[in-house]
Amino acid sequence: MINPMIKTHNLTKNYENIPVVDNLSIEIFDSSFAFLGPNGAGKTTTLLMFLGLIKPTSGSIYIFNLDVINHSVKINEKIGYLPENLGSFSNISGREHLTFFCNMREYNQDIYEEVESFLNWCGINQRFWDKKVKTYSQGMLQRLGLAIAFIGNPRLVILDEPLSNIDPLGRIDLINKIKLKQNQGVNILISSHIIHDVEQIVGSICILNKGKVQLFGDVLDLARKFDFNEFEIRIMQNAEESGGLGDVYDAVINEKDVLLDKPILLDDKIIIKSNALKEIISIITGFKNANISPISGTLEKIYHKTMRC
Amino acid sequence: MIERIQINKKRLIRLISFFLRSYRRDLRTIISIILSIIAPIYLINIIVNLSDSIIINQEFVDNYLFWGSFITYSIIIFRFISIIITSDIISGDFSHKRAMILYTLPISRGEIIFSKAITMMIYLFILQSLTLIISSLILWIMLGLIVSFNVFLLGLLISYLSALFYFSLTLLLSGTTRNTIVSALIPLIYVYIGPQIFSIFDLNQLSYVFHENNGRIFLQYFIYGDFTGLNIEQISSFIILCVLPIIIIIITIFFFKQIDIRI
Repeated sequence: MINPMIKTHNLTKNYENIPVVDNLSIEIFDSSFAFLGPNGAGKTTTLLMFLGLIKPTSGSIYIFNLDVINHSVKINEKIGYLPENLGSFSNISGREHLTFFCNMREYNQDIYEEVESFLNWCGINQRFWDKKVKTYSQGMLQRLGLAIAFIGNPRLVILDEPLSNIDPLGRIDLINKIKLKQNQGVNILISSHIIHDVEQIVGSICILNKGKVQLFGDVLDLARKFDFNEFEIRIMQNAEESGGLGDVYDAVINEKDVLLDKPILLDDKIIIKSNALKEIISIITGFKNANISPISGTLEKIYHKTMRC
Repeated sequence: MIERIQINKKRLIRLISFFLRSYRRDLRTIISIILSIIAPIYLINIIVNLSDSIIINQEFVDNYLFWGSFITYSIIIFRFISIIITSDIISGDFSHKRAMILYTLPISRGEIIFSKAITMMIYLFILQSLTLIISSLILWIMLGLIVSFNVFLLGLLISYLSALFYFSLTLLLSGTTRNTIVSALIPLIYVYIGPQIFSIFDLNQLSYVFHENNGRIFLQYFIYGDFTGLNIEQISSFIILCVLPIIIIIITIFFFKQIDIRI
């Protein structure tokens, strides 16, 4: 039996007797998961309880089968975190920040090389690597925060509103960077109220409102449940070995029985309309890095429908 | 095993060296250095204004110039320095929004606070040692006499113990209030207004300055080598000087482990 990555049981947090998180009982298996909800829904409080920063009023949390209340240090060895409001040691350079966090996570390979590769990866201009962080712009700080979260091989990275302070072009870049890490096997847990950005990354969601679960599940299952039948197939980055989008298109178009309309092949994705999701999934499983998700905007529609109920 | 009794020495040392590096480049370090220069300048001023009739010998240098004048002044200066540099030691993590990444490191909160305390103790020790060494050099250059080693060590001890108390008190306030201004103001009020208020209500035992003075008298017996007149009040005050900072640091760690951290 597969153990969930995160499991909560009757998790509750009260502030002055008002429940901010109310009896949250969930099991997260998916490697990419998002908490969605309006401001004040309890998303950040839940994440902070996962990280051991906030003690629950009642209930339990298990991450990688370890009880967070008694083993937060051991769990934090495996977790990277990007907070919504990222702060830093202003007199220390970006390189020193990454070296410190890499050291603290007991990274046992070449730290210098690891730090340089992450400085490159996060996209901070090389002339700022050794400059004090107080000279960094908000966007550069956010990039540094992302590198801090991912450095030192964490198994799970928790991102709290990771794209809220980033301009539209920067968002696309950061989403791609997060997806790249996800493809390399890092589990991602995101909290956000910007649904459009999140839907490109996550496989499962939990919509919270006033501390209670409104909706929980796999994005594809939820799309089906809400009668959405448009999906998009993408090839993940670094996936040259498994064939291109054209090969996937050829495979899909041959299965006319399961399609409601002719698939549309675009530069970066194939758009299909089908009520037989299982069959589509079985076709694309032959392509190792092909990924199917509801068409862009579906998650937002699901969110609005849920919140209106 | 429950993690609170596990200490990862390697991570602790890394944390302390990181904190030392970040304080080294801080504005407060520059302010502290400038303030710590005041005491040697004061010493120079006393030496320059010494009357010609005074016989300058080792006893005069040890007891009057170093212990009687310089150390008294140094204690006052370092009270202030320790409050200034410690006021945002924990609250700064919240005001600069770095608490969320710092306290999710794979190291317990207790160890983080402990390493911050150790960092500050090292920092204060270096600063005080340098100030005392500079003042000894001033005495040697200007009078040709160097302060006796035991007097130097006792001076460093009393000055350090005093600084440690104000540091620990400020650390506690910084951790509990998470407000830098309050963390600095309360110890300053306690040190400068407190003794007068306690004196009015005959509550001198509650004044740290009272114990500090008794502790100085206690150490003075070691300088003179004459222990007649030493009383239990002076001994207990010295014990309070040594133990109180440790108790306050333990209370801070215990308290800080219980709170919720969010910005």
